[in-house]
Amino acid sequence: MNKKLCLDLKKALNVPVVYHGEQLEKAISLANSEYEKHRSRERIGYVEFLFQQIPFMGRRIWIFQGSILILMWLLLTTIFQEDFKYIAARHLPDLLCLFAIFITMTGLPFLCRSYRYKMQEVETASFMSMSGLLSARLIVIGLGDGIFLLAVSLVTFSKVSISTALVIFYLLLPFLVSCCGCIFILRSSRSRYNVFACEFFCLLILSLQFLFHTSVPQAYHRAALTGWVVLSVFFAAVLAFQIYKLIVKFNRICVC
Amino acid sequence: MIYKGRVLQKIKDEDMAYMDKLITLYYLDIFRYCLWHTPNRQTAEDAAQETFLKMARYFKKYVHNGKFRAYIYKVASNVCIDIWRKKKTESLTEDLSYREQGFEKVEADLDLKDLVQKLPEKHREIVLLRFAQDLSLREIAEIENIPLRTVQSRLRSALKQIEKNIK
Repeated sequence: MNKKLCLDLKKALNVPVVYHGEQLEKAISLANSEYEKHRSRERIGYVEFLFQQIPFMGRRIWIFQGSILILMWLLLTTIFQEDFKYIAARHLPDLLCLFAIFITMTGLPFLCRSYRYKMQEVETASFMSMSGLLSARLIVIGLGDGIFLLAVSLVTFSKVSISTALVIFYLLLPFLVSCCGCIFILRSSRSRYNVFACEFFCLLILSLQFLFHTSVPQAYHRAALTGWVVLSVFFAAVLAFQIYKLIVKFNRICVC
Repeated sequence: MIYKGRVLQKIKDEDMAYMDKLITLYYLDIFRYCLWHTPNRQTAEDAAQETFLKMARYFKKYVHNGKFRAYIYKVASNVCIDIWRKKKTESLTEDLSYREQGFEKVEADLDLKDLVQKLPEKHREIVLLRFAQDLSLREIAEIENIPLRTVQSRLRSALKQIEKNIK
């Protein structure tokens, strides 16, 4: 490169510039206020948001579910005493179904309210997407459900000598079926009576289970375990699809 | 460089006194850059101000990796492009004299400035960033978002053209 030309260009182009002090002051003051304004609106990540949801709504759900779990535990310890042990062992599928349905019912009022009112204020404040908000709630509720089901399983194992797999599927299948139905109801309409429809559906499942257990007791034997596994896998897949559709629809509604 | 890095870290740590220092540090360079890229002094002042506003607005997203100078020039470049886009709709002539742009006119340098002004836009930008703003080739590559080799070849080609025109 021509060094002389480079020096000449630098001399010609890199000219001293005079600027007004007040312009600099103005730029500083505006930049400071802009920085302050955007600092307070910082985005948070999904995991951080999920943790923030725990004191916000998770605590209430878990306290609710925890108190039901304590009641159930008291019920279990009472009915698993010597006097009732024979009856309890005979009606174990019904009992576990009752617990599974109950746990589904505990989360429903919170989920229905979130879905119905779209949680727009929270979305505005937290900059999270609607699907993010709904999935955070589903995770919080699902976590409580999981712990509840695990606790019931452990109490049952400790009190009754029954196959582990059977206990799991006696709990899991009614839980999955009730969840599928409730989410389907939620997706179908945005009525204010959705929560009652869901609770009614849960009670219907419970009644059907009692009826089925009375009329077809052989379906609850160990030999029918494959059927329970197949049905559980099927309803787990249906539930995953229902949740996906619920979130997609939720976003679509909010865009409109 | 270390001082600038410390200033940026202090702002990240919410020490607002350092925001003033950062703007003071870069204001002159950015204002000069805006003078080259806007039609008049008033617009250049607005462009410089807008550059620092944008910098402050997106400061939380900026991850410092020793390229802040290139980053702030890139912001200024985008601001000036936006200004030209707006001005085009108002059909202002781009070919304004340096006196109108706010520079002190020096007769001896005028020919060279004219020759630079006549260069193709891509070449002119490289020459201005290199000689008017005193940026390194690496920084120019960052601002223009082109490979270092391309910066070198464009600069060489621009200088050849200026030499040819002088002769």
